[in-house]
Amino acid sequence: MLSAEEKLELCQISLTGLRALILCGLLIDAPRSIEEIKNKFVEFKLMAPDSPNDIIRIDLNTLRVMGFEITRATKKTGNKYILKDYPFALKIDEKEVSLLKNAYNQIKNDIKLSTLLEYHQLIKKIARYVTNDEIKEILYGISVLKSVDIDNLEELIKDCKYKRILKIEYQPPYSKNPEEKEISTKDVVIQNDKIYLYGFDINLKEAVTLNFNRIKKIISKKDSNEEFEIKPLVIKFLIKEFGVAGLTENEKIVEKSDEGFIIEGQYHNEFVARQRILSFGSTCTVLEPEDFKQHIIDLLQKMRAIYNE
Amino acid sequence: MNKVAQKKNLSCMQVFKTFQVMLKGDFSMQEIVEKLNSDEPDIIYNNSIVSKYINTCRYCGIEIPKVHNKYFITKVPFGLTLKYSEIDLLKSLENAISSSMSKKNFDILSNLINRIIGISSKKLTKIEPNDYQKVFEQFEYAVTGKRKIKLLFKNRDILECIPIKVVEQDGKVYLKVYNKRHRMIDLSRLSGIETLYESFIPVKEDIVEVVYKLKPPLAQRYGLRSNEVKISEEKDGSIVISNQDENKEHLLSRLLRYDTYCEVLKPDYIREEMKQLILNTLKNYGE
Repeated sequence: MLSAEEKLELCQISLTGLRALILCGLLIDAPRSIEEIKNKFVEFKLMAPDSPNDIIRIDLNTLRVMGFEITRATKKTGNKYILKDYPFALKIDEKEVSLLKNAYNQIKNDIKLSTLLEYHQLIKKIARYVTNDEIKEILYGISVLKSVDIDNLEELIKDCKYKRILKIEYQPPYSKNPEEKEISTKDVVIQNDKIYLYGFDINLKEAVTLNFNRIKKIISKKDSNEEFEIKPLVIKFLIKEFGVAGLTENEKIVEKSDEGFIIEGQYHNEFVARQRILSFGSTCTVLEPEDFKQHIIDLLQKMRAIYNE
Repeated sequence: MNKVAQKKNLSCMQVFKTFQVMLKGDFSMQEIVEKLNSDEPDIIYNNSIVSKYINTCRYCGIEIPKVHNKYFITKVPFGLTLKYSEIDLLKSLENAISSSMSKKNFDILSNLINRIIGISSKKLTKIEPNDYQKVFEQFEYAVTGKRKIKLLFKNRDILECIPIKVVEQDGKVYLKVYNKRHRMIDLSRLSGIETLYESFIPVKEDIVEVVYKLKPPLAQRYGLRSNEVKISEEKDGSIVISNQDENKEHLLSRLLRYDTYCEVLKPDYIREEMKQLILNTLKNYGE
């Protein structure tokens, strides 16, 4: 089975110890049946194909003595050994996971979708090494993207990068029947924990913001060199000082004056722009366009009235 | 119970014990042997046996460089391995909430983050003569990521310092670092380099509860934050929320976004601040 060279190399190591370490790795990775374990051991030349399975059972028992909590392989477990806990597993308690959630919630509104995706994958990765099922569930629930189909989202981000034209089945909020739309994709953004596709509706010939969850199906996609002019809402405003919020990708300083900075922001729709401007508070004054400025003043007056009642 | 279930393999247990001792810290061979024997009634372990067990760990992919006569576990193939970018994410999360969380809570969270980073791969490179590529990569990363490093000298000295840049002078390669003063460290004097992740962040201690009301339709679709509880619901569908321990500026900025659908109720001084914020914003427009 082994070459002379391999035998010499193995003299410097403990073969049974090696088997236990590999068994530990296999069980951390996934539940395994005795056949699956044996196949791996044979593949790694740690066991002959005709060796009895009892060798593996003794290895499993040794791990149990070392503090590994391994279930029996029964019908209930699909004849697989499941690792429930092990001495060097990542231990996180309830207080810690709740603080982690709290911290994530504090930053999630200020970071880009791509960063949220990175956090999503990171939290999932950490959860894999936690053996307490309750804590694992809480961890999985932290990400704002927890119920989002990540593969579809990543694909959509890619479509936007290449400005592809998608034919989609879209479920509008005002109707029970889905509609077919042809969209020249522009960007995917997150706003108030919801993901939106921003693009140009080729049939309606207007810019649209579509809720990602309402995209039922992507019927077809094609690359296109055609440029569809999408006019974003451009707001010019004065910022006296940067408080808690920095500038986003779609905002740039166009002028610096004694009073502060004049910023030009480009927004997908008025709702996004309104929320953004209000969040700056008194450090911000809208300069143009006039109708948007008036709209903000009206809103602020109504807000003032609430506190004067 | 059948006989197989009772059987166990002794050398297999000993390999695991060796691995677990090394997971607890960076020890020399002598220290590992002593720690292992301290749990046994008789002396079982010696240098030769432990050396074989360390080789066993290495054979299955566990990276254990020996620097300064100590064994460091730097990578476990079946353990949590974080990429630099993932460690950055955890650190930026820690930095972002440092001023908005109470000191007590921040310490707990910071401890968790450091524990997660600690059990993932250690960024330690053994410096081999004439093979400096890995060292340069690690050093450059520490410079870009603004992380401190620990230099392990062949004479067993250790220097925690800020990495500045790699400098070549008269055919020799130096690491320019800062610790109280600028220093040029000759690479040939080093046996290892470790990237550190520790940071010191000022935190504040006050915990403030802010109560605010949200009106429909926002009230119906609002998702409570983990630091919030719904206190009551009114007949018109409005909800009253208690928010604890959130950075005041962040909170007011967020509540402003809800425009007329939101009203701060308590405490009076925060309500007054919100009102002043609106009045001051209106003043911008001459109102």
